[in-house]
Amino acid sequence: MKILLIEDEPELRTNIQRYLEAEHFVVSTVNNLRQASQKVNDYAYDCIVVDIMLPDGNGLSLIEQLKETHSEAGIIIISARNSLDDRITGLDLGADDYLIKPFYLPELNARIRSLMRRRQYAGEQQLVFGVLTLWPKREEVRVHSQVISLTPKEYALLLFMITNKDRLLTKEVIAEHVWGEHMTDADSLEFLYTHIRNLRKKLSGSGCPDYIKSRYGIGYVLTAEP
Amino acid sequence: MKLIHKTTRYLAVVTIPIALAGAVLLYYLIHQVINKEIDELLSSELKQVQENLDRHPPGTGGLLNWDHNLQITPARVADSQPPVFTDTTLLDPIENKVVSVRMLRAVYPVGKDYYAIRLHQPYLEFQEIAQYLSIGIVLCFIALFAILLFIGTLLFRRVLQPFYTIIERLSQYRIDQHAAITFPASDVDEFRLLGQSITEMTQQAAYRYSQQKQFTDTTSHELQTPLSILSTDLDLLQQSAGLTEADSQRIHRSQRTIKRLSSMNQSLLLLTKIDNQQFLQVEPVDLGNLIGVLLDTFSDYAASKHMTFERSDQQKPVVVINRQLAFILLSNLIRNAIRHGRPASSIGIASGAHYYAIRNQGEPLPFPSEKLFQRFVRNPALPQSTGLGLAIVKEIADQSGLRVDHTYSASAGEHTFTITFQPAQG
Repeated sequence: MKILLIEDEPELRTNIQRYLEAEHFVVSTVNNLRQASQKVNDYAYDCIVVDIMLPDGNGLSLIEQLKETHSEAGIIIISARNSLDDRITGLDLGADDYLIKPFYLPELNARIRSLMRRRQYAGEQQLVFGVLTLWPKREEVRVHSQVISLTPKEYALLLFMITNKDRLLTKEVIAEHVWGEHMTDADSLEFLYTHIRNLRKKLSGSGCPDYIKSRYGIGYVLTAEP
Repeated sequence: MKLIHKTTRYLAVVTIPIALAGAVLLYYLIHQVINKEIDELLSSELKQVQENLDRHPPGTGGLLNWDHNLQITPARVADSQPPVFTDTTLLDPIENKVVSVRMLRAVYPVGKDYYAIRLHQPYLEFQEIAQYLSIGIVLCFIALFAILLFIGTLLFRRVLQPFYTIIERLSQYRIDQHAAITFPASDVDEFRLLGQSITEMTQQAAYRYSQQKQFTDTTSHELQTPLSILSTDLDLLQQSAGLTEADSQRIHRSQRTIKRLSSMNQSLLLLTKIDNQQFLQVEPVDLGNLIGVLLDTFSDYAASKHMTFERSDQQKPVVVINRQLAFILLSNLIRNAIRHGRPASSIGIASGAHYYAIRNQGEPLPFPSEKLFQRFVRNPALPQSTGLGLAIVKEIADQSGLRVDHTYSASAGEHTFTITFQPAQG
């Protein structure tokens, strides 16, 4: 899947690019609006990750250009401005998602994956991990071929962890993804532990190996390795 | 009170005493003039009577009283005195009623005899004239006052039209909208100057407003970008193979610290934005509804501390407020209650027509209560707290015309936050 990343801050650009490439995306990068405009003109991308505040203008104008040319690409705005106006304007113009800096890289990955699922495959793509199969459109999970029933939170947890498989996900990253950004400064993330425990119980109860590993009390990794 | 009413009131306060005093004075003057005329009349009649007495000296036997207004009686010398005018009443023999009259008494010598002459003249018509005159004058005065008022009001409206336009435009002006304020041209210098001054003032305010707004945006960008670099660096570092447990935990701690810095930065910017009135859009907000949404969001958090919510807010007041700010206000208060509440206790939510109260059980404040809403005042036992949540609550309350109070009941070990407001009309 081809991604165009428009970000003027070199270190940030490199970091995002490295992470996404490790997630098997093909990532092109540019650092200003003019180059971005040329790139989207010359090539077709599946997803465009655009910063709003760029040295030569506002990233929103690129979204306007994409919509004028009826581009099929999904658009994710990344912005340092936590402004409701910006968010509304961006989404009104046709952006699919809006992420506020600083964000966690696994979160960006999850957003891109979710967007790709919604766009390209009309949600019918299934995710397979070991003996697990997820049908995102139906929010259905199967172990082997047996459907298991999960609460929406447990489902969101599992989907997020499969999207970022083999990666250490800290409790904060998971909590922010599943419960929203206002939960991240909750003094205790104990509630996360409860949900993970229930999820593991349900999975192992259906004969699924214990893929979810706790790591140093920091967070969890979903992995098929022992 | 409107300007026109104020002016009219002053006008009335000044003119009515003058008019009353004038009417009294006028009545008195008319009386004086009438008296003088009657006295002159009586004097000339006296002269005629005296001439008649000289010409036809009456015999001692017959004193002719020509008419009932004149009486001549013989008098002794001792009674001799200068003519005297008096006011008195007499019985009018013709109309058979008591009338007030002006009387002239004099003693007049004819030869060696003396005659007392008494002349009187009823006031009757003169009094009527005086009355009619007075009534006429009072009526004229009232009419004059009414006309003055009417013309004054018309003039006032016309002359002050630009003034009212200025007021109307000003009340519609909103600093967060880009349209500049304009006023109609006026040929009155004062209004033209007023319009000019206000235009300049609002232009300056709008400029400062946009500067401030740009500042918060830029600050946000400048601070969040380095934090983003740090955060992504750590994300990548954390995925490296061969990290020891201690390394991983150090990285994790750094990530948490970055998050704390970022949320502190967001909170400070939010405070600045509220200060700068960047949330002017208001709408009627159903607080009960909003609380329902928030309790749902926080339910897992509360459940992890085995806390329950007790809602007794039957009244669901609607408040005109910025929706975003209302959300932040209530979310901060509820999160505060969960964070500082004793585990396994309950959080009470009650409401009335003019208030919303959120209470939680917990330890007394570790600092003086007057510091509660100050910035960076926090419970040192909770390292992730920024100490800005309640400062934001206070700022939102102040900007939105609400009042927020905190009370602690030592006996029940219970904190209560009360938001007091004016409910929306209709």
